Amino acid sequence: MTLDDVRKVYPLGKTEVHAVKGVGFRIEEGDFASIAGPSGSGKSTILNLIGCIDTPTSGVVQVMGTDTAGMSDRAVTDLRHQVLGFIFQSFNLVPVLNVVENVEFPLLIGAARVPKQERADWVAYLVQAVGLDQQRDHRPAELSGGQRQRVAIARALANKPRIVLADEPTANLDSTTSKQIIELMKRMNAELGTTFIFSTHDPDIVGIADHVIRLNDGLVIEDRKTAAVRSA
Amino acid sequence: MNVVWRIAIRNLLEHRAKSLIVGTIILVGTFVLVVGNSLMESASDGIRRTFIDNFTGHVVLAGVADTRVSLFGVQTTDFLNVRTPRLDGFDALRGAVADHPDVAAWNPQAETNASLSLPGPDGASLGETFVQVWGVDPVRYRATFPDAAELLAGSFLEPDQTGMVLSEASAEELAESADRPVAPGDRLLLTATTQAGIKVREVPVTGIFRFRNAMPQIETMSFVDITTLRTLVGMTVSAPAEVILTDEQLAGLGSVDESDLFGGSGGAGGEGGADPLPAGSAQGGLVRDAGSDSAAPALLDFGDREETVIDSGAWHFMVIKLHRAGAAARVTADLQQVIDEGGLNAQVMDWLDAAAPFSQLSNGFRTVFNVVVIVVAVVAVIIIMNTLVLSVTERMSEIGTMRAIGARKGFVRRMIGAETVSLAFVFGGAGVVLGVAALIILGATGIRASNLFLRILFGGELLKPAISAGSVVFALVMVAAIAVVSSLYPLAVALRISPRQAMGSS
Repeated sequence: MTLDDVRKVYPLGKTEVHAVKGVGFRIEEGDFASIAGPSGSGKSTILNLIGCIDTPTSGVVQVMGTDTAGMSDRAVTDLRHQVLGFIFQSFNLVPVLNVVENVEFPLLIGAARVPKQERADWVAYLVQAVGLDQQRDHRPAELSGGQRQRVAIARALANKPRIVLADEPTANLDSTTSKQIIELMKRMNAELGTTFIFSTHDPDIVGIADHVIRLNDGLVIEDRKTAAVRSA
Repeated sequence: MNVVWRIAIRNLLEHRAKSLIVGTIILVGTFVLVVGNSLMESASDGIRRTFIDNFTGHVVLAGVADTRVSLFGVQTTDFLNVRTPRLDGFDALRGAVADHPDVAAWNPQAETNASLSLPGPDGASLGETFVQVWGVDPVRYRATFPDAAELLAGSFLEPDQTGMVLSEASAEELAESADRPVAPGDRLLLTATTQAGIKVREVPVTGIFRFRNAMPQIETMSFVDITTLRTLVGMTVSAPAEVILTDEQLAGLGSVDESDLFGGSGGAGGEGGADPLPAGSAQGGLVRDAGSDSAAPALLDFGDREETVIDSGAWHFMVIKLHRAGAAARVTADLQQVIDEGGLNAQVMDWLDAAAPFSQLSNGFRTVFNVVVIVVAVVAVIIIMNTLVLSVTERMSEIGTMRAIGARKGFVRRMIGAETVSLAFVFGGAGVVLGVAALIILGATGIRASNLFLRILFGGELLKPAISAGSVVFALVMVAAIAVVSSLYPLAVALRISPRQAMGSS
């Protein structure tokens, strides 16, 4: 996943807001990467660009080697469905579906049909992997914040994506739960080999990442990999 | 269950208040459509049956006029100058009708408006009313419409009998005006205004009747012998150019001199002329032409003279009843062919045209109902649309999330559509069931017309509405259309929701 001199300008009335001012970095497959920085530094904008939820004003965003510029709505949607998984700050579960159904949801909306038994087995594995076997029939309203985010992680992995994007996944959680969630993500990264890119402003969380891209005022001020990653 | 339907139905249950608002509108709308349309159809069907069975038959032959013609006369305000046209080619058409295998019965008929007065012993009018009369062949009329009229007193007309069968409503009006009852045996004066002048005819009341199924306006229709009616409306043929008289007639003429004709107290211009005709004569009426005084008939036997000048084949209509209603189109085509081939100034009309003033009234009510339905439908669309938009707006994050994790626009479209269809199906179905139940109850008890408006609308005193499959289908189609139309804008709003909405909430 590569960003090359990416800029994003939002119109704000008669003025313009330069959210990202020429950012470039590369995240390798299997990375557990953190995009860190204070509020307003451009973290969410960059995640939106990587997730094909937004388009850059200029520059190139390549996901799995594909330039996302100029893609049709359907092509971008399919790319998000097949290649990307999303974890949101506010969990964003479908309120009328229970845990199993929420996790299964991405498998039911695509053009490709996964056989029912295969689907059920995979969903059961994910639910168990995130530690919600006892709550499998609960609806989101019946779960704690941490449990909801676990469901969101399982849902993000349901489609076996190459990359999971998490926008401030611990922002609404207490510190203990936050750490558990990041460790869960790290475990899934290790077990499934899925690339995780998450944004955060929490220094403790940033420390768990093995690739840290630090932003400030729309610019990359640090792009660092830990020794473990470098040696790998 | 498919995930789309699962989400749709659970969302509807989750947002019960909104679902109930939309559902109640759909339920009430469907109920009103099913019941209202069935009532209108039952009323229309009742009016149709009433007219075909009692007044118009299935097909009517009539003359042609510049203005619209119906069995109740020409549709014009200039009724003094525009008369109901004579049915041209009656003999040719009679043959075609009588020989047609689909014809069950037929009846020639003529029509006019007249003023009706009850003269007192001194000749002065005791009371007056206005009537519309049909001149009929009594035998054929009763064969064609055996159950149309209920005789309350006296007797119906017999062939060649001069007289009038007075409707109960007209008899009551006249009695009220005269301040005394009107009964069979009373002699009444019928006065009609034609282009040729005013015609007055004295007729005895043979009976008083009422129609078994009649709208208020038809209740005043009365019957008169056709010869009297022809005289009143001036249905005459030219007098023969040469009249050959017998010796006896010539001798009779020789016995009359000019002083007998113009002199003496019974002469023209005098007052209180002698009784012109013997009571009980077949032409026992009194004919007075405009410009003549009341004593003029004393000069000659006008009854005999009229016999020679009245066109005995003159009718305004031929009312035809068929063995089955489905044959009307074929009979119409066959009779039209006779008209075309004979170059006749005649027309074939169905019961709707023949009953024009009343069928138009019925159609008018239906039009008003349809306008009300359209207005209600528009209001329903607006309310449902607003509620659905609110629902979509509240779920922007949810829909944005779905789009973010790979749901195509088609998925969102199906999800919103499924919610609307579920609402329409459940509440529309309930509306149909309730409507059908209401119709079953109303069909068993009947709805009694409590006022004039309802009597006109029902085509009689009692309406027993039947369940109309067409109404149910129409209601369902209408509900589906309302559901689709009202979901278009909310759907457009939902499809515009970007995956950013999911991120935005964070």
